[in-house]
Amino acid sequence: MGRYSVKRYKTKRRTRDLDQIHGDLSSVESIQRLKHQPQDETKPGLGQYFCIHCSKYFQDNKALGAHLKGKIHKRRVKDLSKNPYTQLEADAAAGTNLEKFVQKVNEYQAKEPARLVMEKELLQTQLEENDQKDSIAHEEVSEEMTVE
Amino acid sequence: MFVRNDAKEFRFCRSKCHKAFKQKRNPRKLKWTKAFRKAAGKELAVDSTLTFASRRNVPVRYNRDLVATTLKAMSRIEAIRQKRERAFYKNRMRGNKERQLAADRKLVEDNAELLKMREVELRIKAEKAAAKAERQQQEDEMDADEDMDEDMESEQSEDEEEQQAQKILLRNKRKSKVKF
Repeated sequence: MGRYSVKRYKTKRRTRDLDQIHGDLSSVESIQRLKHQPQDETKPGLGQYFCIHCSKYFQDNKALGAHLKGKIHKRRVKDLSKNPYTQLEADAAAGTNLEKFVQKVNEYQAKEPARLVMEKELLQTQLEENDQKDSIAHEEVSEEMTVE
Repeated sequence: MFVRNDAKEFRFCRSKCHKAFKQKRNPRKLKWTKAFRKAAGKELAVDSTLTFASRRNVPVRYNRDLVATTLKAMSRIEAIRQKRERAFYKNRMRGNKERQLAADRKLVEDNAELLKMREVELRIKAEKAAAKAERQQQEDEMDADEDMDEDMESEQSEDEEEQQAQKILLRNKRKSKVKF
């Protein structure tokens, strides 16, 4: 994760954990919700260009495209391909709730392949969808200009 | 304790763990954690003796018999667990001695010169001397054959050597120029 810097690990700068992101990516609704967010002027690019894996907003579609091709994103995808570490696993390692943990692991193994397919399907077209959205918005703006 | 912004609580056994958590380290990859040891098969991870301890969120009404049997069972289960862990460890370490011995043997075979330094040295010396003697013999034969040619050649070779020496000298000079 690069060089050690205290600033990065201040809790006020804390980013989403892997298990949270895995949760984000585990259902169709949540992926759709994160892909099509309402416009928010406090976020970069009005919150329209979001990478769910890295939970990061981008300024425009080009930046998002460049990020999706990059090393950092690929590393994150690789990290997410394993079962994320949770409190349950920690408890099991310490000696409590082992049965629950084993059950969860089995569940994960059963569901993961289908989830991966779903995720790929939904995120494949993210860039094109954003392009379409942009062009529609652009047309609207230009129409308004001509009306005025 | 650390409370994440989705209201999940995390408790840590020591500040070392808390710091590692804040750095987003994966405990499964840190060799000193219990989680690593279990995930990597270093310790007994899945066993019926380990399934008894679980957090039950429903309180149990006090029952003297239940307490008595529980207390009795606890020591018994602990004894069985220890026995199984011991067996697991023994099984894991089985064959280590032979493997280590084989590795050592290979090491000795591959690096014989380290053990028999003097012998090998003497052998190499003898070989070198033999080779030198042979060369001398050959040269003597050559000398007898072609004396004249040898003189010419030797002159030529001397010239070449001088040139080479000069070249090296020049190169050295250039090097020194760069330095200062």
